[in-house]
Amino acid sequence: MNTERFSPGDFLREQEGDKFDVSEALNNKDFLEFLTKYGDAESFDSSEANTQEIEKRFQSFESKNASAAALKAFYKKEVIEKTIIGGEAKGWEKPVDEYIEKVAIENPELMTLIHETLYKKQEAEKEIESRTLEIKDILRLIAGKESLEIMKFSLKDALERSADQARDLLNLEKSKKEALVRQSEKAGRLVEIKRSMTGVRGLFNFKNFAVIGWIFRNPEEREAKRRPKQELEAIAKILEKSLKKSEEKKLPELESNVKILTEVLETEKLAGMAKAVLLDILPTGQMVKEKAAQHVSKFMESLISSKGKKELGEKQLEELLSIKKSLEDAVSEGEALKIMEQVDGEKTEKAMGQLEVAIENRVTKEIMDSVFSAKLKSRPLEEMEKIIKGYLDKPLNESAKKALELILKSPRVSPEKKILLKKILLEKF
Amino acid sequence: MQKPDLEKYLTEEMSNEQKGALHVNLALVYLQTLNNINERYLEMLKETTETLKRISKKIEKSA
Repeated sequence: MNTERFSPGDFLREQEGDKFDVSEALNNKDFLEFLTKYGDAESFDSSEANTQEIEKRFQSFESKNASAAALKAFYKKEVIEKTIIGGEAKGWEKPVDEYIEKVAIENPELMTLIHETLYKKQEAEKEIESRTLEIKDILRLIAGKESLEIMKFSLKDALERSADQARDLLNLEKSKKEALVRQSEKAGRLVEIKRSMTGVRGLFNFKNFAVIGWIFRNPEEREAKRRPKQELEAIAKILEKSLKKSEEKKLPELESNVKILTEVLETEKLAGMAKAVLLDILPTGQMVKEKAAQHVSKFMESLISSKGKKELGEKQLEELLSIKKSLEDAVSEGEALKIMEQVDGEKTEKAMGQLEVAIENRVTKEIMDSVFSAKLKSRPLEEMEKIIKGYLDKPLNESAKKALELILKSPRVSPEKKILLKKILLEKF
Repeated sequence: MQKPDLEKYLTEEMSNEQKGALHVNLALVYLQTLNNINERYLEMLKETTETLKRISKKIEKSA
């Protein structure tokens, strides 16, 4: 189906409202021939004075051309190739062309009907396409929202469980701390009691005496009396250290965990987190494309870093050139590069630049080596041309030209060689 | 406009002009039929779009 819009005669006007160019129309051989088919051809006034009628006929002519092409394309695709008519309809195009021409001259109403029907189909197809795209977008949006909701729900669930655990841990640590405080205080007291029962202080402590002491000692004093001083001091020290550790590290850590989780659960952060997780796992077409483009970009970089920095072999050079070419094609088509730019434009551009340099260095080195080592014999120009010949074609010739310009400045190259190279440079590039 | 006669045409007894008229008219009938189908299809697409938009809004509100 011919997809161009049916706007006959427009090309003879620069802008809407401009005057129809009669001379230009009459310069069209086919239109001239079309005019001769009208019954009044011999008496027809083809001067500027008759511009209106000429323009009308020109529009008919244009409409006929556009409609005939579109109608034939549609008829071939939808009727000839798909119906019983197919095998029996050999040679249908000529009669159709002739009939449409006749219609354009004798039955402008039918021509308009054909024209409008084709136009209607074209517009409907465009609208169907855009509506379908719109539906796809909404569906994607709905799917995304639903997935986001599911993700938010699962994340919320997981986070709530974590928050509960964190709160339990915090409470446990708090009770542990309380117990530690109690034990530590008791241990401190026991140490103090033990101290009052030993040494010089012990001599004057009546509770140290066997019978009286036994009557007046409280349970802690009994315990202190029973256990060795070193043991009580060691326990007091350990408990003090554990308490300090719990107060300085464990408790603040657990409190902060609970705080973070509560915050996430209570604020909009959850939606953000869910979105981030979702984006990471939702494989939309665009993302697949982007990932593919990233791979290409990475592949390029790996080629450049591993092979480009060393001396490139013939095969690798060819490989690189073919990749470079396909990327250049992509640039001209716009499509692939657009995707790559979306992914990481700067990186891709950098990779292309590096590749360019790698190729240029390789070409320069090859030409320089060949020129330096060349031993000119009977037909020096031909011999020199033979060396350069392989680099004359695109896409190497630009690099080769630069290499030759560089060689001409080199003191290592003999004047004879320079004369030859200058001739080649001026004539062949 | 000349009436197309498919049977006669298939025996190749029609003139070029009759053949041309037959093909053009057939194409036109097909085109008009297709346009009618497209019209109905578009209406369906419009309805679908509206329904989906409503669903999308509902989801947005419930989020």
